[in-house]
Amino acid sequence: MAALPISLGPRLGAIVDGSAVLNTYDISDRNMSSGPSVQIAAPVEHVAWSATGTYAVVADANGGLNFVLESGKLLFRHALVKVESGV
Amino acid sequence: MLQLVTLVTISTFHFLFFPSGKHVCTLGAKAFGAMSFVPNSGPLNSDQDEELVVLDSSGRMFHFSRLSARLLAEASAGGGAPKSTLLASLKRRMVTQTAQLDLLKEATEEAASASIQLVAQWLPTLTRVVVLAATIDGAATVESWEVCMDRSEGNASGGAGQAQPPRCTHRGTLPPIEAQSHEGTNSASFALVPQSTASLPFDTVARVAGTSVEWWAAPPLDASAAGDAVSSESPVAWALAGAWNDENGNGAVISGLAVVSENAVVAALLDGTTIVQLQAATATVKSEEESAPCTVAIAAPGFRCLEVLSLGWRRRCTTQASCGAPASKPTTKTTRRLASCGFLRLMIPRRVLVRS
Repeated sequence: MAALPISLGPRLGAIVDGSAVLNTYDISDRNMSSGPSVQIAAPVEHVAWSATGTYAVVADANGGLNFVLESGKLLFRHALVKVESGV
Repeated sequence: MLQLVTLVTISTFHFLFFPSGKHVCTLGAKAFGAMSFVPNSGPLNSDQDEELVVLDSSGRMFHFSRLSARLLAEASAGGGAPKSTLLASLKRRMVTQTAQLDLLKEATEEAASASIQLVAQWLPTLTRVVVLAATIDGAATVESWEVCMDRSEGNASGGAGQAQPPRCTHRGTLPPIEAQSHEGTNSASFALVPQSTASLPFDTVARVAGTSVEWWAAPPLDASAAGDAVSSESPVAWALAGAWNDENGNGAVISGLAVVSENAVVAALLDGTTIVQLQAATATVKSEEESAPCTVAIAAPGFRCLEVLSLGWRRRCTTQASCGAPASKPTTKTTRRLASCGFLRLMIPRRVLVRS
């Protein structure tokens, strides 16, 4: 039972499910309606909101850092880590 | 749906036929250990540059500087300079590896069975990051690094490919977990507790394992300065640290530690290096229709609630954040059933609670 990737920004909370969909939620919304979401190409390992809350960085299991805007748009993916083969 | 299918198809094709570098990517492999943004010290606005520290699971540390929200927004909108130019500018600001946590490297090479846990957190001084790296192999050995990076220096070192050695480091160890007194020695969890006020001299590393919670001042991790362990009735799963406003609404920010066990959430308050109160079972999470909590988080300053997600259901647990006060009655509110254990509503802003 591993902890799930989550992150709280100044205005939005980022929640990730197992299918690597990032949802953003307005933290002032008591109804907790879903905000924009984006599909990341690989399972998400970490999420961090920027201090300004205008974008989040999503680390995926294939070593990519995905820059996701507040609007839910994936701006670009930066390949950072070369994941070693498990073989 | 068509876009999703297209994305998955393209990604799969690219993954199979164009693996990056000489390594073969493995789906499901752990690529990253931790990452943390550096909070801005000044007023927040879209022109502020930001910094990001990323650790991969082999212990390599990357420092990204001058991430500009304004440039990101412009690149997205297509305004100003051409998008390709803006993106190239952003990528140039990403600094390559800046440090290597040796223990993690050794662990991945020699102890395949050991699990690794990383905790990275920028401290309120805004000038340094403390990285706590631990291998959980039954002894819970810990490598603690204090990486000091001056903000102005960090901003000035944004050239691509320029390795920036950490300004100062520290390595320490925590005493091993006593297996005979704990259940599940491979389930240790760590948390870094931020300073709540400038008067508090230490930040704290907390470790939970089995049914005990232990803490040390960090850094350095001085075993002789360990506080008395507190116990939970059932094995604990996670320790999460944070700061929140006190219950009386006077705006005081209190550092604390939340510990999630199999059937309860407990909050431990910190006074300097001492846990002065452990509120046992402020919320009973497990019930006949619910499973153990999936995850939990503590609010940033300005919030006062702690929310816990159980599989399928969400519960809101109000924490009592004043020493010596009677335990508050948990405010439990099931709002909707969730399809999977993948949602965590974090904290409710105070202003929302006041309105209600």
